[in-house]
Amino acid sequence: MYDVIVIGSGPAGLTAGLYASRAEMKTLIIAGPAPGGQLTITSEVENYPGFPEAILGPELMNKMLAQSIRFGATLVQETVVRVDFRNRPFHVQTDKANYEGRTVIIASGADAKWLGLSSEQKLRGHGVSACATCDGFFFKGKEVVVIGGGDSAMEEALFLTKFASKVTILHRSDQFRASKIMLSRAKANPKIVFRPNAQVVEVLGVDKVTGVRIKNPTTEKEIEFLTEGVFLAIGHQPNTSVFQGQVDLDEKGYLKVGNNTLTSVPGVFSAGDVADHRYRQAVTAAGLGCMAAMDAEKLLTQEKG
Amino acid sequence: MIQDSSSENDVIIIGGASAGFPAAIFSARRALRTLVIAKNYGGQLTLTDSIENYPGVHRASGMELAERMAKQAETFGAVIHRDEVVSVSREGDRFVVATPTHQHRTKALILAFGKTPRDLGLAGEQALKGRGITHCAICDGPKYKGQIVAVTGGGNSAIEAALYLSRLCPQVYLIRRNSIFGGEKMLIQMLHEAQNVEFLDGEEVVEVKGFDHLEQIIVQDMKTGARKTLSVAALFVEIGFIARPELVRGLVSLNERGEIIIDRNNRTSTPFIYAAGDATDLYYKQSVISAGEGAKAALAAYDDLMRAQGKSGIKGDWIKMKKRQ
Repeated sequence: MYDVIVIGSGPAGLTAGLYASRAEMKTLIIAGPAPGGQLTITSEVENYPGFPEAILGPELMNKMLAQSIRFGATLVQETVVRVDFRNRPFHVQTDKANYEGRTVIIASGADAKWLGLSSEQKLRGHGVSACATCDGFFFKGKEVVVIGGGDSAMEEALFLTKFASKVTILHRSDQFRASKIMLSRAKANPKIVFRPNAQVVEVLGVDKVTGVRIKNPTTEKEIEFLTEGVFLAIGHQPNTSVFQGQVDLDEKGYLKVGNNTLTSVPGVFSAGDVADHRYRQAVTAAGLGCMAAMDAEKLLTQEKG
Repeated sequence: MIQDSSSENDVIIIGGASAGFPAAIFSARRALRTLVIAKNYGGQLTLTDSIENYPGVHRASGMELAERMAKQAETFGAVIHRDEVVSVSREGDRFVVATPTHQHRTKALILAFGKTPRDLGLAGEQALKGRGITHCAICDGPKYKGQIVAVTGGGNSAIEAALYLSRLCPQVYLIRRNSIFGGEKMLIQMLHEAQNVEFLDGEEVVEVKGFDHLEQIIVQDMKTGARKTLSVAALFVEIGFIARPELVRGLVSLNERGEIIIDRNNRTSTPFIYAAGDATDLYYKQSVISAGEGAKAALAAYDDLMRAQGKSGIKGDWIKMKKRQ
């Protein structure tokens, strides 16, 4: 029996694990198959406070990981397949074992979204990718496109210029939600070309990507655009499918939260991107992880009394 | 003679610690002209010799962490002035932040000046700060696991600290000059049940002793004057805070404790004024939380400034599909 079961191992989950175990709560972190969350697939993290020289995403996560288990948390690389939050203690079943917890902190994060085209799914791993840092290397000297208009699209594009000969940013509107600093960096890079009002409606190619069909949403005109790589950076999907029916979700699948970390089930707390679709920053997620651990600790202390 | 600062700012951040510097990092990264005004770097961070619970940083002194954050903010173009803010006022659609020598104008203001924990005012206390004498049980308590500690203070925060420590330490003294006030009944009840908490009511700490680190405290009965010496590894001073709400009273809404009331996006009651960290009414007080709050305050300021210019601000992953409240 654990005092706290943390589901997820990004900045939110590991910070929750750190604070919970440091407060002498028996803590289990269910990390998923690869600990570290989304930051393990980013390159440089410049905006996590405390690292003026920037730090590589995987390196930051290794530091957080070591820190979270230093105070006694147990970490398992397992995947949650089923939960039962109807009665306490809560039951969490993974692909390998069953666990019981007095409280649960859900920090399962969100994953990159796909366009949802069958041609895209067919060519995944054959030129279609949602992770430039993972797959960029394979596109040395080639022309690629990045789909999206936010900071992550700019980051992916900039990263890809290390390998690709040309990077075209395709965005369905002419409004970019990327920060100014990222936009101007991308614009200043001679390898990057912007193509607004370009909605990708099909990925072309048989065994590997040869191009994309793009549509101008206002004129409805479609053209074919030649490219060998398609990188998606169009947002995220919360990882909540195993919690359906156990805890309240909003219409997009994000956890519904009340005061900061409280979910609809007393004793089940939330932290990070799984409930936060607005900020989604490493430091905000870490802050929420800390809050969740403090809330869990407070609840357990009250119940003991 | 007070000089008008010629440069116009988008954002002025008052305070240079766990909330202020992260706010500056996020604000400057959004290409907002950002000025931080802070009398001292680090705030409460500097009250501890070693931080081991800031995620990603295994061990650093509070000052070191604050300086790293400051340097990071400067990397992105934020300007930092080590100066004291003496007044904040409104002038048309700008705010004016005055230091003893200058006046700075800004479109948006982020209040991140924290709060200062009150000291006992004993001889030798300052020298032992961060070396056994501390104001934060959650931050420093685990360092004294298995050791005998004391808490002094009559309110809820002292009781919460004692309760937290009772799970880590074999014995906890709770020294209260006055036990009539403060303290939720339920919490006190729990404290009595904890077994390892000894109540020293009607007593006060009159002396602290130790060379490199706190070793003993002397406690005096306020009625009889009788003194006793307690050997403790740490003393948690929980006797309240010196808040600085005078600076912004009348400008933003405060709660009864003098904390700035904020919404979930760090907006205060006044448009274009934001607040983050310990100066706010947010229940949680930890540096990583303040850092996240600072980031949010900066992004909210960016959002509002962009909208005021008719441009789109930040959008959530899908919030753009819905009408925002």
